[in-house]
Amino acid sequence: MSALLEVRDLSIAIAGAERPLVDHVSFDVAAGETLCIVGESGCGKSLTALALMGLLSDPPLRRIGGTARFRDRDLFTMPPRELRGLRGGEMAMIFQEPMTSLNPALTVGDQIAEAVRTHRACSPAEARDRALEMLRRVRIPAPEKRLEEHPHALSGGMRQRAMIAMALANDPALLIADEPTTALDVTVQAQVLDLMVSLQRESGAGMILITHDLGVVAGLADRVAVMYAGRVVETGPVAAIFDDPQHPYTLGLIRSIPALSGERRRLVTVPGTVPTPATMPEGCRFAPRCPFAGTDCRAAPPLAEIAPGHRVACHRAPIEEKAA
Amino acid sequence: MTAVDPAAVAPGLDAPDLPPRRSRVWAKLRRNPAAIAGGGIVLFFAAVAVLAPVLPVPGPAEADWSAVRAAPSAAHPLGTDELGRDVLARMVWGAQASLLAGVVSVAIALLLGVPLGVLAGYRRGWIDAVISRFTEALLAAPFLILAIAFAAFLGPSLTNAMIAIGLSAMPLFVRLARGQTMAVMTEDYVESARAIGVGHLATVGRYVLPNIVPPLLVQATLTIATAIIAEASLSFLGLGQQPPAPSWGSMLNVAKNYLEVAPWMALWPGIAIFLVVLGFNLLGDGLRDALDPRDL
Repeated sequence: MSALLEVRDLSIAIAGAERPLVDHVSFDVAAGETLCIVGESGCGKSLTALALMGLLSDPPLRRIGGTARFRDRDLFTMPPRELRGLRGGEMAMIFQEPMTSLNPALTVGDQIAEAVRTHRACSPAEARDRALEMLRRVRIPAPEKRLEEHPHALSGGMRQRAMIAMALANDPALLIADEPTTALDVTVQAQVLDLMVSLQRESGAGMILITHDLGVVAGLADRVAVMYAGRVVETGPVAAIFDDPQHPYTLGLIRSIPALSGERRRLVTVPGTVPTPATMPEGCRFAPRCPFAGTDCRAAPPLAEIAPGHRVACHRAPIEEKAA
Repeated sequence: MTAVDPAAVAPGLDAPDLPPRRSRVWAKLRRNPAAIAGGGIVLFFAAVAVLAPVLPVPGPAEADWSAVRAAPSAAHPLGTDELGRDVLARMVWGAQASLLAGVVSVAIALLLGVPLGVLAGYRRGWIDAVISRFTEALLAAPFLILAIAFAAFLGPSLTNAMIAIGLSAMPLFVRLARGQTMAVMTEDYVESARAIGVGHLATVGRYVLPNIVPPLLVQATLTIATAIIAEASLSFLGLGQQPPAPSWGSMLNVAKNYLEVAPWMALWPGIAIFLVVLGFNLLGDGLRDALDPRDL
């Protein structure tokens, strides 16, 4: 299966800094597939997404290397005009903050219609019909009424639904969702995620879902890429990541999920904190926090395939089953 | 998967039905007595200016030689000036010059300043540097001095005075529009507009401009007051409205020679300038409060 999107060695740096914030990140997304990018705040997940959309604020952020082939075109070398044609058309993004991502001066209907009219030649009436249809598809109650309303009149969950409607209005082949539910109430989160996934399944689009919520990953992902301090440390099918995690960081993440059943225990945490860009160690960036680190960890481990589709960047991989 | 209606799950969590923003601004403005008073004053003078041709007053240049510098009386409610012209009539006609000078010069300042400011704030880089240095150079000179210089350069007439005042007020709007544009550009909705592929012109027209209108509107209202004073000052110096056509400033200019014998000649234009400036200031303050997004 040829990939819809192939990202190779993407590196992003901030002006004046020596070390990149995102360092040689590579991954693939196939049509109809959901790739979850997991990692803690500041690990470069969002920067990766913004770079793919061509939305890095340059300066101070700059892409310093790598390629991204989307349907056999390189996103990073195509002319700005062509990239603008892709954005919101074949490639769409859903942002983290529904409360501030809608223009307060336009009605919800006008904004969705704007997304439609930017990419197709159609009459205002047709764009409006499409907007109404999209509001129905994202299951906003009373869509005819909401079409005429300004964003301030909508709740957070409804605004995120409107954002999803806008992103999907042109049937994108690739959807990038950057923590789409982080800002929402827990009760609304599940609804919005279910909605996104069911719409994605309907359309057969590929999706990159950026999150730090492992529960979401387990429920929705086909494949997972775990990022730590700007690098992909482990990637593979969701079952392999959860059943047979190989990177010590992945292991730590999974062990830190509180269990609802069984013996009550102290929550397991990963010791230490993420190094700042200035204190980033040479070699394996996780080494200072890693219980298995040795002298060989001073050299950066390659992202090596240890099972079909399952790659790990660790000198210790594959690790034997640890005795509990 | 079944569709879940969030309103059915948690009816109380649904956002309340708020009226549109425009009518909420109006509702807030209406509850502010100072703003209403200011609006009333402005409306009154605007009505007087517009209705001048049909109001039952003599022409502004009609002289009554039997009543030169006459005190207020039944025939001349506000008195007459040094040529026996009715002061009330000149006040009414002068309102046209004053309000026109305020509105037109601010319109000139907006038309020139806002595009420059938005361009600077949107494009940044060297364009911003050029526009900003130019603006700062203009701002280095005091507003009225600049207006006098422009007016003297263009030649004395009401039109030129309005252009001079508009040019002098322009840097203010460049700065404001630039700053507001830069602030709006960091908003998530501008990024999401870029993410759906909206072009530069549409981004400026539909995402930037509508969101910088409120502060510009407030500044424009307050600047009209300043511009009216500037027109009065220019006319007072002989650089604005030319005789025999009346303006409040030129009336004051002449009246200063007769302060001891005919004080009413100075009193009425002075009061009118004071009131109309007060009106615009109150209205501008009220608009600022009403448009404040923090409690919209």
